[in-house]
Amino acid sequence: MFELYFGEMARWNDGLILTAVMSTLSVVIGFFVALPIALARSKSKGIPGWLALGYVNVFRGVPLLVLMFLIYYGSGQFSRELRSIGLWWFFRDAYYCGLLALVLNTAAYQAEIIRGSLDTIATSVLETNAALNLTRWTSFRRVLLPIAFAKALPPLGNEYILMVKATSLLAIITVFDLMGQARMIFSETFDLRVYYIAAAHYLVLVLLIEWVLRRVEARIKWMA
Amino acid sequence: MTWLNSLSYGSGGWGDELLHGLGVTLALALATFPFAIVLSFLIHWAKVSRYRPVRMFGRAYTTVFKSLPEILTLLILYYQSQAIVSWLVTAVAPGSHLSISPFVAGMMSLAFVISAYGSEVVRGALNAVGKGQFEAASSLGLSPFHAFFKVILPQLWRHAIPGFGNLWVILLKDTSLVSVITLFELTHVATLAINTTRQPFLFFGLIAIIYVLLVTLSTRAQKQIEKRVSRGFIREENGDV
Repeated sequence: MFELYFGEMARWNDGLILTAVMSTLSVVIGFFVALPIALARSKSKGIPGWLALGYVNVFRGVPLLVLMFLIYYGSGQFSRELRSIGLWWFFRDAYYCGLLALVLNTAAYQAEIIRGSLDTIATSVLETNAALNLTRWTSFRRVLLPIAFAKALPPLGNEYILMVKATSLLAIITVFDLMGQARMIFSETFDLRVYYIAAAHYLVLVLLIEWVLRRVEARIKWMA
Repeated sequence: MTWLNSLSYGSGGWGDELLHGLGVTLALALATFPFAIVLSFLIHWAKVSRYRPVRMFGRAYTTVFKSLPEILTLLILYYQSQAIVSWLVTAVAPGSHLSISPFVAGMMSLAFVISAYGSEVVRGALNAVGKGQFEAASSLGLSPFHAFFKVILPQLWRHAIPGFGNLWVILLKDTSLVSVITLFELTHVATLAINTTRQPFLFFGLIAIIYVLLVTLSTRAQKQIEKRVSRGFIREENGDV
């Protein structure tokens, strides 16, 4: 067990870093993609609302693995067209494709989380903002968004943990995250303990994130 | 239309194979779900057991299966159970051969993962029913067994439907992971079709649509059931009762 870990330390660390980077990037980018979708879901009754609902239903319905296959392998069917509009460098790369799939997926879930917390803000807050003569934009940026964020933090933290786990699917489209490195080392050694080492990594990583999130939540609980 | 050709039903196209794959996907999800629900109750009871080791086991179970990526759980259980079974077989009857099918391995790991989340659904539903019901039942002289099946359970499932409905959707989508250990379900059939037809966008797009339809149908059905079981209960602003 130890030689499988210490002998391959560099690869385990590379995998760990890539898993952390990919999951963090996808959650952060996904948050900014989710914001307008959540707003449209919460405030718009017209076409934007319908579009946002469609986005959420589609990207929550497709298994992430299938979405990754669709973007990474599916784009290959249009390689000539993508080359001619100068986007091939993006779709050629498993890292970019994987990140895109993760972002599209998490944005759908985060949009629903943010919408939920936007909807629970009391009408009195809106009335107060109007009484203070805040413009709608200022009211959203300085009052509603911070409250919504504080309310949404526990489920957003959960989503972060789900994304750490979801990055493991990147290994299937040849990205060397933690799972990818484990698969690689397993294919060289055929030693099942490799997967147990990967499992220990994920366990420690998730418990660590949970611990940090609990502390952050405790600090901003007054706002929610 | 060459792309329609490759989807046709019969030896030339992949229509029949895809339909079969869809059947396997549904079979896997349907076979796993009852196990997952029963396991959810068992794990919940383990977590509130009066014996410390049992409580610790319940907690460890949820922590582990909620922290590990589903695909890693799947691979570990698949290979490990394979190793254990072949070790047992050589110990009992040397020379013979027995192996774990991808279907069974997928069922086991999905049931473990879903029940880790399900135990929390059970806890929430039991809280919603309230302790008083159990106390009233036992003061009437019902055994814990009867109190659970005759009093608690009929009231409980109404509260558990939203949670278990969500888990059903997660389960349905997670069956796609079992393609990695070469179970011939929808996703795996699509990858096979692509190997010969070279039309990845067509096939992955198609199965993506099928998954979205399955999920949409499931949520529709869930809404209907929720509506039906909450007949006669006053609806409050947010949530039921």
